[in-house]
Amino acid sequence: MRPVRTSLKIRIVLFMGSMIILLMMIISISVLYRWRALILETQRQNALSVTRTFAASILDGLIFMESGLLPNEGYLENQVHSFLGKNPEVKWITIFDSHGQIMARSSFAGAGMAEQAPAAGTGSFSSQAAMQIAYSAGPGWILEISHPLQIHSKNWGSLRMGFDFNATHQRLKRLFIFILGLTIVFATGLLAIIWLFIGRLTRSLRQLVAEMDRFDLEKITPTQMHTGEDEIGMLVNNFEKMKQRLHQSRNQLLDAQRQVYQAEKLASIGRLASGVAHEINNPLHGLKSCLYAIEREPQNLPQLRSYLKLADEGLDHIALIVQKLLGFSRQHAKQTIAMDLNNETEKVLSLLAFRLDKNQIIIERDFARPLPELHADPYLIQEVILNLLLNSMDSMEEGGTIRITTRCDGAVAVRLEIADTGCGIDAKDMDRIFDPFFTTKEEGKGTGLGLSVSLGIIESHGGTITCESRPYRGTTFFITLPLHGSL
Amino acid sequence: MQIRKAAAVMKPSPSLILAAVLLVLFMTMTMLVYRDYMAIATPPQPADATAQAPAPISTGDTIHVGVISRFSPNLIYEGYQPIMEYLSRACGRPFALKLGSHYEETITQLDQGTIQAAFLGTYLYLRARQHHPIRCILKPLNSQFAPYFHSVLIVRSDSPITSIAGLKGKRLALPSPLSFSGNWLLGYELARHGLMVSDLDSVHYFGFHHTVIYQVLLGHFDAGAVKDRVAEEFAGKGIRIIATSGPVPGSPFIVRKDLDPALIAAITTALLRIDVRQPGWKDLVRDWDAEFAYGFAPASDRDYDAMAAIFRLEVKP
Repeated sequence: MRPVRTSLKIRIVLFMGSMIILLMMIISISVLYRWRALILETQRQNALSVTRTFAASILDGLIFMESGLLPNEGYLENQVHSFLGKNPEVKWITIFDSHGQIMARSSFAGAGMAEQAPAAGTGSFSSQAAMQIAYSAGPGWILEISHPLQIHSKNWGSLRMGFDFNATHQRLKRLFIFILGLTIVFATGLLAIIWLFIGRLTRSLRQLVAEMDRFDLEKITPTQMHTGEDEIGMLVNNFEKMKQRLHQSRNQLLDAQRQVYQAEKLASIGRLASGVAHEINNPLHGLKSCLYAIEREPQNLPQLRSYLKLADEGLDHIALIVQKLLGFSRQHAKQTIAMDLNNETEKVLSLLAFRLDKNQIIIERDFARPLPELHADPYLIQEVILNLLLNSMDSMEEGGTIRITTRCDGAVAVRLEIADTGCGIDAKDMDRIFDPFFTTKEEGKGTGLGLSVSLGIIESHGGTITCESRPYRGTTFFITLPLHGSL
Repeated sequence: MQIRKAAAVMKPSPSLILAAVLLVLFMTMTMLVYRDYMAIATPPQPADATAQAPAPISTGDTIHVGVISRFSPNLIYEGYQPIMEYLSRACGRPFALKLGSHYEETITQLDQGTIQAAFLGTYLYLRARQHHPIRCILKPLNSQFAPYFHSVLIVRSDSPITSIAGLKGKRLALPSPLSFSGNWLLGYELARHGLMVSDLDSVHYFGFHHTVIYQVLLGHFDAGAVKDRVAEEFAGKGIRIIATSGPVPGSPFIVRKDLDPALIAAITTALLRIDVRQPGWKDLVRDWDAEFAYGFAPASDRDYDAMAAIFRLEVKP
């Protein structure tokens, strides 16, 4: 089974993980910014409330001083220092008059707006309170608020206060880390759950893949998997049904193949018929001559014995030919036995002897002797040799040479080469010669199944068959067969 | 073959590449968000978007308007400064408040010419009109659009006192000795109920009407006299009214006699034009002192003669 580089599990986890992380990031960022806004707004409002409260008391003091109800001397300074003492979060306070002159201030020289006199026209004396968050090296983060000392359009100046904002800054940082950690923990947890869930799901798939990998058409065994009522269960059940169908189809295919073999065999027999008829005809003529001589001189006992012996030999010869023909044409179940490739080749040559002579074809035998025994079906091997020899004979209508070579290929296989000096095969046809029903012969002279059947037979024995050909120079078929059925 | 096999082994799977890309994206995104999230520094910005910009200041000599110290100065600014802004716009001259530390200081400021007009109390006006160059031109309307107000006697909600007669032996809080409410109670109502000041445990004067109510609420005093408009602010907040004066001509808006008649006419026109029953005017007076929330009526010295008689003050010929 080929290992998967990018499993379904990883892809699902990656996809869902990406989606979850994206979603969580969106939610976390939204929450984070919402929370940040809330914290900042709360701090701003708190600071503003404190500033407004202090501004109201300062404004009252200024109005009272203006009305003569309060002495001017030291009042504002006392208020500033008293307020600073009671409110540690306030870093500095500066009170400006309506001309931008400092009326009172704390001793701390703060950052930003603390010491800046508001210039006319800059909005510093706006009726609106202004705030600014700024950082400077000394005090760090400061929230500065400038609040007008004003009732409606009557302006007495402005109040500026600086609030320590470092704690808020730290709080925001802690919040970020908290939300980030929470996001990572939740995302990891969810991914782990998905990983386990998908793992359970894909485990069934992997088991099914293993079952498929073990599947052997020769031996149909029930799938060893616990299936549920889900889609995986359906898949397993369908796989089981598919196995049965495949097995059925294979049997049908084998039947069809057998029929094709038989058809091709019968076609070959047809092609052998004239040779066989001649083989039988010769002894028959001999028999007829013997009978004629016996009939003329029935008392000539020596002659009678001689002719009867000749007739007996002729009948034996006929019986042998018929036996060979029947043996070849009979339909066999594949039967593997120990056989000698040289002998089987000789048997086929004997069937073709008449046609070979008639066509003036010379057979050159280059047999390795001894040749190791081969475990194969002798009738199927004979059929292959017969098909190849018939093809060679067809390609040499005006005579030629067929060289048959057998060799031992190491200790595991034997090789058979059948080389003719015929017309050869066109290069354009080379890729198709083993295709069923492909033939270059005239109509009625070939079925186009010979090489296809031969290929099937050799492959069913675990062997190989290849071909080399040069037009007008000849063709050679190379067959390699494993000694024990498979290489 | 070996090299190709090794290359295939070394080549990372697309999932691994995707995971690495996602991780890098996550880290980059986290860093970017952190940078943006922690960037809290801001330029100066308005803290209160609802705040209104001040009205433009008119040109010309400022007309200073005094207000008797019946309320604390900040309350006076809250309630009277919008009137100054309205007059500035309506008359085309800047109007500004000038407060005094006590009732009589306002009269002094009028005499000295440091103020040209003033919101006086009824009793103070009755006393001052004979000897100072002032004339009243307007008086405020009450919620029934009548030019009167009432003084009321208040006690704490849980007080057993139910009438003026019940004040015997009690502690009394009053606003300024020159306020109408104090003089109404001491100089008129006590006698009507058979009591004398000496029948009371004590009488204490405070600077402002609101202070009188706070003192009663705190239990430092058993009863107090204030203007009805101030008592209404505390309705349902722990006080109870046990006596109410008859209708009193509203606290007059007076001017120096030598003030430019055209300016007087402009002021009169501007303030008499206010009609809160018409659309738009209510918004104008929303921030004004509650005493002026219903507009003004024309006023003359004669309107106050009856009150002068009650207090046995000299009636203007």
